[in-house]
Amino acid sequence: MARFLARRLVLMLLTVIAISVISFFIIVLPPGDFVDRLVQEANQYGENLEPHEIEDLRRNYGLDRSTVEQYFVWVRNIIFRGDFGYSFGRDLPVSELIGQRLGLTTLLSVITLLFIWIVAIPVGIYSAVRKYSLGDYVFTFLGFIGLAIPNFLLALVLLYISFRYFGQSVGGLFSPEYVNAPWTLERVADLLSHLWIPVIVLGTAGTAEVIRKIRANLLDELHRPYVLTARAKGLGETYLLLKYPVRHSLNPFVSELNDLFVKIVSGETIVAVVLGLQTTGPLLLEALKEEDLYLASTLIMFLSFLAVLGTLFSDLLLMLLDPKIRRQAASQEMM
Amino acid sequence: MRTDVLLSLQGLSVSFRDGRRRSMALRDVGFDLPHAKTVAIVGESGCGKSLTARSILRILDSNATIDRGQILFDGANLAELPEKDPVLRSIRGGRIGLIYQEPLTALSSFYTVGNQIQEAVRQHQGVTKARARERAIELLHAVGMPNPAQRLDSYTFELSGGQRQRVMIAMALGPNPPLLIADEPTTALDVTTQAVILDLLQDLQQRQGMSMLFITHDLGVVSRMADEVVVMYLGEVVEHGAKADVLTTPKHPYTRALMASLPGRGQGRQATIPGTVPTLEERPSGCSFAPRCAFSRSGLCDVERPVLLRSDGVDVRCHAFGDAAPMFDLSLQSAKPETVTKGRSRQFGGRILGLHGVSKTFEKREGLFGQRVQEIRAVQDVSLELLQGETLALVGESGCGKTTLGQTIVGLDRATRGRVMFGADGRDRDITDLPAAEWRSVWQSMRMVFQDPFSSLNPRMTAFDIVAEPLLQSPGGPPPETDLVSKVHGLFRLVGLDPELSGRYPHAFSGGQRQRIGVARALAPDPMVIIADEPVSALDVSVQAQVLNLFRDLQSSLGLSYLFISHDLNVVASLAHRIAVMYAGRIVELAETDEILDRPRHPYSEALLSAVLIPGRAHKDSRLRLRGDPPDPSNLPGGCVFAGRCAYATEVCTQEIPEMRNLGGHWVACHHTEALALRGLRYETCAGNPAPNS
Amino acid sequence: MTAYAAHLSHSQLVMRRFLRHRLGIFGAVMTLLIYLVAAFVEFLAPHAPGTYQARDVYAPPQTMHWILEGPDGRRFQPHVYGLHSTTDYNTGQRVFEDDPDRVIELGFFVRGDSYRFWGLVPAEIHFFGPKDPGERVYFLGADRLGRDVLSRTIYATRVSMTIGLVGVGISLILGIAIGGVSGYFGGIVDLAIQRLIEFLQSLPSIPLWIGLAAAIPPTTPPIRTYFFITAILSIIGWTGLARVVRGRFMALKDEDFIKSARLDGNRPVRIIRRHMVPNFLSHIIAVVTLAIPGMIIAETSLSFLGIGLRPPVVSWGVLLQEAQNLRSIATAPWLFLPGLAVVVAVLSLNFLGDGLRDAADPYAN
Repeated sequence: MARFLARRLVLMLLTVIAISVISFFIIVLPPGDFVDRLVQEANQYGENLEPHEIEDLRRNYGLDRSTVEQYFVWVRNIIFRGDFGYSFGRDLPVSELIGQRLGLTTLLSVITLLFIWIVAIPVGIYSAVRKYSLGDYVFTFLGFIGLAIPNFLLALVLLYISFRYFGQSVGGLFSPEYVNAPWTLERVADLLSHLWIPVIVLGTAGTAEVIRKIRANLLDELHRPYVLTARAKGLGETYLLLKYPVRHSLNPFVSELNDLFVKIVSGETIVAVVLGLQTTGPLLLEALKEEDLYLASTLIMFLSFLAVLGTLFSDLLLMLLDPKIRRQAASQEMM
Repeated sequence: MRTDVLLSLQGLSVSFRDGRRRSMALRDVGFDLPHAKTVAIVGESGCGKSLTARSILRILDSNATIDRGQILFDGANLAELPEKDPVLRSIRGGRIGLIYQEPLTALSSFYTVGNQIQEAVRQHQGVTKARARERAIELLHAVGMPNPAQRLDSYTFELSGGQRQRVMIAMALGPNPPLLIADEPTTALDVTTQAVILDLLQDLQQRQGMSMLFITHDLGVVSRMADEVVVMYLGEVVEHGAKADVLTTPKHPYTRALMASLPGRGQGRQATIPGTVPTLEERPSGCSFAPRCAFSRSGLCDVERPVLLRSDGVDVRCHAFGDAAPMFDLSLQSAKPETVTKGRSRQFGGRILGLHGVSKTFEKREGLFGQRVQEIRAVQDVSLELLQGETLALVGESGCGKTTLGQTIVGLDRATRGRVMFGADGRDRDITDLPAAEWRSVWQSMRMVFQDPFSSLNPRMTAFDIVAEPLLQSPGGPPPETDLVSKVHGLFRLVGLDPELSGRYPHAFSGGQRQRIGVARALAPDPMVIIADEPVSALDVSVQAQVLNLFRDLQSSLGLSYLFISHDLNVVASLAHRIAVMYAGRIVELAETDEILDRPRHPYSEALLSAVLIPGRAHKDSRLRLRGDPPDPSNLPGGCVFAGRCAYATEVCTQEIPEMRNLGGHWVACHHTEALALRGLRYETCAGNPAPNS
Repeated sequence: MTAYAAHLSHSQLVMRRFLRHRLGIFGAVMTLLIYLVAAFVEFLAPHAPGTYQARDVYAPPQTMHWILEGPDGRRFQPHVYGLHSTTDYNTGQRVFEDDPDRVIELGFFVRGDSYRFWGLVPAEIHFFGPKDPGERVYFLGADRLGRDVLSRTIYATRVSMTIGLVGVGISLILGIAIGGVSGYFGGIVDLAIQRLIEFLQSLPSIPLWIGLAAAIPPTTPPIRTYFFITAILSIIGWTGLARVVRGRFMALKDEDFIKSARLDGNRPVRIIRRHMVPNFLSHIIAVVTLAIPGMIIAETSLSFLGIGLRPPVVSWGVLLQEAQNLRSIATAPWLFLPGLAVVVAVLSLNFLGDGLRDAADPYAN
């Protein structure tokens, strides 16, 4: 088991290294950098910067070095000093900017995942067992709609409805008075009262997808011989359904859980922009538009890292659930 | 109703619903199952055997309904109990146990076998968990599972096929049911494992005084297990009586034909039943068997459905035994073939195919970056020769490497070591390492027929195109259009298919017809050698006989050589001139068919032969059984590969690999062969084909 | 297999099965209609997408009337009433009312804004619109510059629907090439490609897309932006298709009839073309169809954030940018209508894809 975990961790480390490279070069490789943008802005105000001034600016921001060099400096500082660089646009260390936002993104993603499970698993089971019933048709139809509406559109519609009919703005994760308040119980309560809209927006497509998957998986499993065996043993129908086919159908679902989590983390970016959440999404968008190198790279890296953690989690869960994988892990131990 | 009857079916009819269409799948099925006896239901695929079993337990799929009839058991009519009746649930598993074909899929892979056995025990006996566990260990012990207490915590994927079936049996026997339904329990198993499981079932039945409803397509298994036999055809009981009566003096023309079409030893052409079993939607009017029956009388058999009559202690559903009996002359054996018993004439040409020390090793990569390489030694050091006009059979159990060997010979897989020589009349050449272009010319004269008639034909091509493909792709270029058409149509006629059908797609053909198309494709470029990989094992007995006859006819008319790969010794005994026995990737014995069957010289061959079941013969005497399982090809033992399971093994066997030695034309790889007196197949009671007029 | 199907070919069986899938048929018809619209946008749109009318800023959708009461009696004449706007001084908002005196007669094949069909053929005939080329009609309202939302939505259909198609096309080419290489060579190559795909799939795609799209300079010409965006979407999109292609390839490679095709003397290229492709084509078509909606949603999302396609290009995402702030959708909820177009398109493609997927294996139950 320890060996299995160790292997996973090694794999994860390699993945993180690859992620850091991608995150950095995605921002750096396209032509133009932050200084170019400054120069452009200055031009708009009618100021012309001298070439040597531009040089100085570049040197200040560390942009005069080669890209590869910049990357290694960045990574070195992360490893040895926990320093993720400096935000050009905001004149603040990146770590100060992203701390809380990352936490909120993680919280939102995890809660959305739980929401999807709690809603989709029972509905999926119901739909499969009562195939072609009225309920099945209703859920199937809702599922199709859920899949077809882009996240941001759903967010907009919800915003509009609450504004139009309830006369209030539901954006954000906090009421105005709590945005910059220190963490208190009241603030947590306020957060929770705001969380449901983003959770619904983020979770709808995923819920629809999971319902469809569980329904399809379970329909496959319902006619397997082992179900017949259980029935021939005289077991009660509900009990045997839950113990055998449902249990079997959850396995492929768990192995696809990381895909789901990646999609949630990914979709969060857009939803957060529309709903004005105090998470990483809006910050990332701004950083990208401003070519704020270290801020953008760090954010992309952390979001990818979050997704990788999700993968690790689903691997571990699968190991707990699937005896075949558990036995494999145990046998690797012995070798 | 007889007083000693445990289960009685009366007039049971079951139908399937598909959209708006209904088709009758069981039609007035009725028979009694006496206490402590075994009744075998036998029939070809689609005759309703398994459906009968499921109807008894009321575990039918939702598209099947019981229309009429009674299932009397324990004083209740199971056919009328409501779906959720507690009596029904207590009978399922508690009073009637069920085991069936694929023990791998019939057990859940997510729970330990102990969990699944204990669940059955607790469901019906209301005992504590600890007691259920003890009971599960007892049960596993009773079914002969080694280390039962440890095995309780195993998952299905950690067990061999035979062990899984033992678990199924233990689970079914847990609540001590008075009736066990065994639905093809050994069909997925190898013969040697089958022999052990059948022993076990019989033993348990005798010890517990249990009744058994045994469902199988295999008449050999029926002979081994049954007290009474129920023969089914297209959802109807056509004959029912004591085993001795039904198997040795069958009455119904279907039973007769079925028995006659079994492969017998060393015979020429076999009797066959024309055509195939129709689908349920195409059920003929009158007698269901009439269109295929050699005795059918038009105006009667195709109009009026016969009733089940009692004749000499046997129930028969046939007009020939009723009021119209004078119209029939059943002694007329039109079902019997023109017996051209050629014997095994040994007039073959020279060598056409030669293997010298051929080995095939697969590499399996494991680990994150494929850094760990595992070697799977599928075929090891195989040498053999195939002569012109000869049939050499390659027999062995699943996983022994026979399919790999076949594919290595034709070059679908490349040999890791050794040489393959191919060519007639001394003009042979080494084809082991030919470049792809030259292989294509080899493939014109060495062809292959595959096992599964469904996956071996491209579903997107017509039968014509499939057969024409090797002609169009021949290295000499495609023949002119008119030649092509006449050639392909000629091939259709050669394999007994109507050329009119050549425009159809594979899905429109039955299994036997598809296999004929496969044979026609193999014959198209006028080959010299055909490698046939289990060509009849996916087919029903009656169709199997037709295809085997086709192989015989083609050999005698075209002088073909066959390398015939099979696990079925009955088939091999009827067709092959020589037999090579394979075990764990090696050939352990190679000799003429009669030599091997009568005087095997390798202990594995002896075990294999003693497990063979011959219909119409009592099998109580043969008590030679193999323990354990074949070795893992990725982790073969040193020394003789069979040593671990061999009753005669000594120290030398575990250390030295035995050489293949030629003992007067009888090749054998065993250290002790001279010292052993091994038993072969003995046909002292009634030889091969037990049909009445043979 | 029942006898009445005996003469049918495999493709006919697939077709039969598809025709029994009602939602699939519905999806097919809708998809066809949408692509027809995309093909004839210039002709179908009543106005050019860029033309505006300051006095019609945020004009609401107009209702069409059928019967016109004229001096010579009642006659069938589709028409709308002109709009009359006043400013509500309490709220500062403009209020529109129908002006019953100003009748705008509508007709088929009317002359209107001139355009070049597919950028090539000059024309000025429109399928339906005001008879007087000087008049304007807003069936779905107008936006903040007084542009016709319906015409813009129709124009956007071409961009959004083709970006899905082109994006999936590029993904498919990449997927087939890479998946095919992976399946063909096997071994280490296969392993490396599989690891790469797993890695790419474990990354959150939207931040990466945003990262890449943000790098497109705002000054880039529209055509090139369009190309960049499809390329960006395909960079991640190919992985799923490559997996499917490889999976199918691997499964087919071991089928007996493929082995048999080799033994029949077929060369690798012909085996792939004649024996393998026809057997997985229907699956691939289904998978591709199901991949298009994802591309459409991705493009829409990027453009919505302002880093995908940019005006003057009109795509559904670009149009929805108009609906980005609460204030504008509160005043003009009809700005959501391009969103409805997205939902309808995505739904139709999903229905179609589902139907195709079920039909792809006509022998299954």
